[in-house]
Amino acid sequence: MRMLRLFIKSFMYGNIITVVLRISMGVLFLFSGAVKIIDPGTFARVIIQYDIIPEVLVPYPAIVLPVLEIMLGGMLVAGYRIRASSLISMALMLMFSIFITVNVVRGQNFDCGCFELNRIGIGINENISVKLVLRDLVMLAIFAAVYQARRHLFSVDSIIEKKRLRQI
Amino acid sequence: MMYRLINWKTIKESVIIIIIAVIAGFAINLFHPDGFQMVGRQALNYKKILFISTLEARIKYESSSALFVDSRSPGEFEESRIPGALSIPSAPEALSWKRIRKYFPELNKPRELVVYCTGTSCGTSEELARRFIEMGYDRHIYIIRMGIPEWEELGYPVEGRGK
Repeated sequence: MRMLRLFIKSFMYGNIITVVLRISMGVLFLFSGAVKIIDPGTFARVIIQYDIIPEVLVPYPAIVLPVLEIMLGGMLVAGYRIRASSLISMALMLMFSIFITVNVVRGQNFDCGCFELNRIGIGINENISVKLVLRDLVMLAIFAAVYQARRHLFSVDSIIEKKRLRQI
Repeated sequence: MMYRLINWKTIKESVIIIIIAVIAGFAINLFHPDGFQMVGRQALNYKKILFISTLEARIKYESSSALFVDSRSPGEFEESRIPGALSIPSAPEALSWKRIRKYFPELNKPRELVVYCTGTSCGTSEELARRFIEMGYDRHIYIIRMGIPEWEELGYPVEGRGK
């Protein structure tokens, strides 16, 4: 019991697991952003399927979201401005889970187009469902954990902070 | 020490990240081979105007499925025209609107609409097609890209005083 409490404490403070989570989420973002940026037309069709915003406005998120994902991915992997990037990631995850929930409630069933993992041969079922909403919420929790951690090992932020402290 | 979960610095950084992503996204889209083309609302309204080749126009003519509209001046129309065409000159504007109103029931009949003028250099067909759309015509409007000169050159049927 004490071990568990200690573990949670060190995880909340920011240990190696926080780092692993941060970097793996970053890689996931980098990958999904890259796939979408190569083929914006397909991503636009994915957005149209969700039927949330008018079709005329679809190109705007289709242009901005992949770039945002790549930027966030890069920043999370490098550990640069971690708090800001994980805050935006949380907002994104919240947004995605709301959109998926809306369409699950509507009784729709289509590929969510989240990470497009089947493009590299990892054939996982990404049809929208309650499970997918839960997955997004788990990711939201991961980003929240990264967001509130005080220490980030292996990150540009920590290097900058060390330099600053040395100068004092 | 109070460790604040939300502070201004984080929010400011987040906003900056999003702004950079928006700018970078539009910049990348500009040079992306499969990027989106940003067009005005006007162009979206007029996307029902399609340019077709002379042969396609001939096919529509042969099947009598189309109504031809001559957008040149009445004089040119008298000289030579595609048989059965209506004369709705695009200039002067007052005359053009008068003719459009007069012929509009005719135009709206369940037939395809093919507009022509003297070829690629004349924008009058397109101008006229836009006026039809403004009047409330909501089907595709076809314009013969090369106009009546190529039609005549290919030996397709024409009628009029000059022939």
